[in-house]
Amino acid sequence: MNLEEYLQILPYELCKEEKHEFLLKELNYLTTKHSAKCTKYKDILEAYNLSDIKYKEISEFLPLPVRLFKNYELKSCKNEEVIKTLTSSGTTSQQVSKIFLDKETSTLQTKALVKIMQSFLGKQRLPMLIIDTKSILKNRKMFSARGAGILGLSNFGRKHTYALDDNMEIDFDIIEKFLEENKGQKIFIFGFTFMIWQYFYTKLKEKKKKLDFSNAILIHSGGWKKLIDQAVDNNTFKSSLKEQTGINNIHDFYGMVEQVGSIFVECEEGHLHAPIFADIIVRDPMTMKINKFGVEGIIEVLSIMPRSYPGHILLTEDLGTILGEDDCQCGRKGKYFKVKGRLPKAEIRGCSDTHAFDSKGKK
Amino acid sequence: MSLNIVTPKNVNNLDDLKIENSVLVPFSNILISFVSDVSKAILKDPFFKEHPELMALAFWMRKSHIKQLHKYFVEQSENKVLLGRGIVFHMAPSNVDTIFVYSWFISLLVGNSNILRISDKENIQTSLLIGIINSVLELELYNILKNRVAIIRYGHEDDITLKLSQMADVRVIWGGDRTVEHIRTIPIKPTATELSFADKFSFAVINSKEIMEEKNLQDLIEKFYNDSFWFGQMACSSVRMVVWVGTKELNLEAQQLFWDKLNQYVLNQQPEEIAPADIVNKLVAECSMAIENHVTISKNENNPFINRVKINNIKEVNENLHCGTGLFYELEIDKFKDLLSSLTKKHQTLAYYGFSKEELKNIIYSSMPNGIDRIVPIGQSLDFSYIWDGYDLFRSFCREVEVL
Repeated sequence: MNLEEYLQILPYELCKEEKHEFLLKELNYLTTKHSAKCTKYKDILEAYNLSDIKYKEISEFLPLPVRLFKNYELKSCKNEEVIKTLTSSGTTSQQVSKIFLDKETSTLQTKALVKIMQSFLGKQRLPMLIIDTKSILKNRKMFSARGAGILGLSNFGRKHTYALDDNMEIDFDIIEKFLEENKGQKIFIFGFTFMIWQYFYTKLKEKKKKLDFSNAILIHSGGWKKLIDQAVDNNTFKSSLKEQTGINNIHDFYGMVEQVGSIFVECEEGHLHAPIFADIIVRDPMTMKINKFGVEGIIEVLSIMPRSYPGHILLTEDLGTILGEDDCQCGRKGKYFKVKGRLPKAEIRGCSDTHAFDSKGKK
Repeated sequence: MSLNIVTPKNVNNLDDLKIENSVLVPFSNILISFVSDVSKAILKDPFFKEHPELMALAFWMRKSHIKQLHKYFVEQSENKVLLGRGIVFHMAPSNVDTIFVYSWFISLLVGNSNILRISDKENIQTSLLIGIINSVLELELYNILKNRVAIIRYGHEDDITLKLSQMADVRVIWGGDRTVEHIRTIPIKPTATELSFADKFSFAVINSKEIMEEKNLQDLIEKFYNDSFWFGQMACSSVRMVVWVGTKELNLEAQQLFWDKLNQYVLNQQPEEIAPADIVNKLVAECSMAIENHVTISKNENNPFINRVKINNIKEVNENLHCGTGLFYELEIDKFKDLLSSLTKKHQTLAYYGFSKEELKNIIYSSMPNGIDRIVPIGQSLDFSYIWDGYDLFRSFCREVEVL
């Protein structure tokens, strides 16, 4: 089976043996390819004495720590072949990841995303409500992650309507008009988890406003950090939104700019699912040995999409737990898991700070 | 703005803070007695028994040791008139919690008044330490010292630093390059002087031939562990590189022996302050080092506490990539002398094994290196000394009155 044929398969249809065989072949190929084309990646493999190894298990590859993409430009294509450069949001840290896409990678990522989204939204483009402000697309400074996310997902909807005005207030006129026009139809709502909670749900609740989105499917992403700080977990998020808007169908997804396309979407059972293009491994955060299913650890993500940068095997700084493989109640194949949140930050140590005077120090 | 004047207790804002600028006689009885009373109070408190670095501090403050310091001071000041400079403002580091006491007491012993800036980050050891010191200070016996010390906790407010700097005759900045650079933009009085401690890098040098013959290797391993693992390996004096001196074969054999032993010891210790985030940091550091230089990384699958990165030249050391918590650069050389010409102002402590003091002195004199502040046997890297980063602190806190 070649890659083209593999991409024809539905994203949650393969059992582990077939998937493993194909991923292993591709990841071996990608490791060799990136090593030949990206000097920095080659240097790392050589330093660990891991050059020219053919692996038999997907867990044997050396994962690159995802933070490396913030500190270094890692690229396995020529400069002139780069058609798009993605950057991470960089809200929590100053430095942003830079991810270089060539035509092949960009196309593959789009294909993978289409396959995944279609399995949740259907093949028809649905009327789409975006829980954000349209100005996010105009403001180049804010553009990076949120804008790119919205643009990426916009491909799966039509009649794109923005629910928030320039002041991040809910635009009730527009929403009611949108609901009226699309009465009886399935609606696609997209937004970032925190934006939805802060600027949509909380405001609706404050104003004691209820909306009827019982026909809608909501897909959201963007991390739980700020919500966990407010003691809002996934169940609270879902039940609160349901109460205010009647939405039954809510799907979070886990993904990162370093592996765009092969995202992990939450199923009806509340589990995140690995599509056939990607996989997940959970390791003990101290020893880096593989954890058994059910044991929480640090998440490693694997994807066969990254062809123009060595981001095919990445060690994240997220904690999660694999719940099972091929046997989720929702019927989808592949590993399914939950994400707990970020690894707690390391203590600041040493005598070399009366405290590191950063911009915060200069008042 | 967070400002907490911990000592004196009855003062709540800086404008009411009055610090005596007349100095006391160096090593006068009242000063020695105060320091040794604090030492006794610490040694009596069961809490501190679990904190070896605080016990080390208490031992340093014992009367017998202060007497030794006194003797040293008298020798140094023979035929000279040395007096305290007045008010010394110490800016303590936030994470090595004992430094501020050493810095303060050395200055106190030569008769100065002292202002201490301590981070506003709560830290139980520091708080308890200050509590003990305050309780001794409250004794009537020490009334004379009451308006000679202020302990102030605050964040990074430049206006506070400015006010305190303007009161001081000496300002001491306990490090970090960025901190030093920033604090230096805040002026001190024209008559004042300043001591500053930059970021430094420290390492061990081991004679491979000698270590193969060592009878009490376990003792050396324990000392090395303390030198490198305490303070998360991030103190200026923490050992962060091991240099092996010997032939290629001997170096390899010595490494095998040494790391095997250290592995076992560290696994038994299970340093609990090393957390998963540190493991990831070390992985990022290793990869970054591999990108920056042609290094070799040795992995020990069973021991997450020790990471080894072999380099080919001391110039390949990049202190900024080093994240501590058990990460070691390693370098092999034929002769000790090969190393010295590459040392810079960044290098602080050289912890040695298998060389004699005379040998080391000769090597230093014959090669006149640009850097290196301390050369100590392995096991003493973190010991505080009144000679620090090339300064004699007693001397730096004094002014000499020339009488002809």
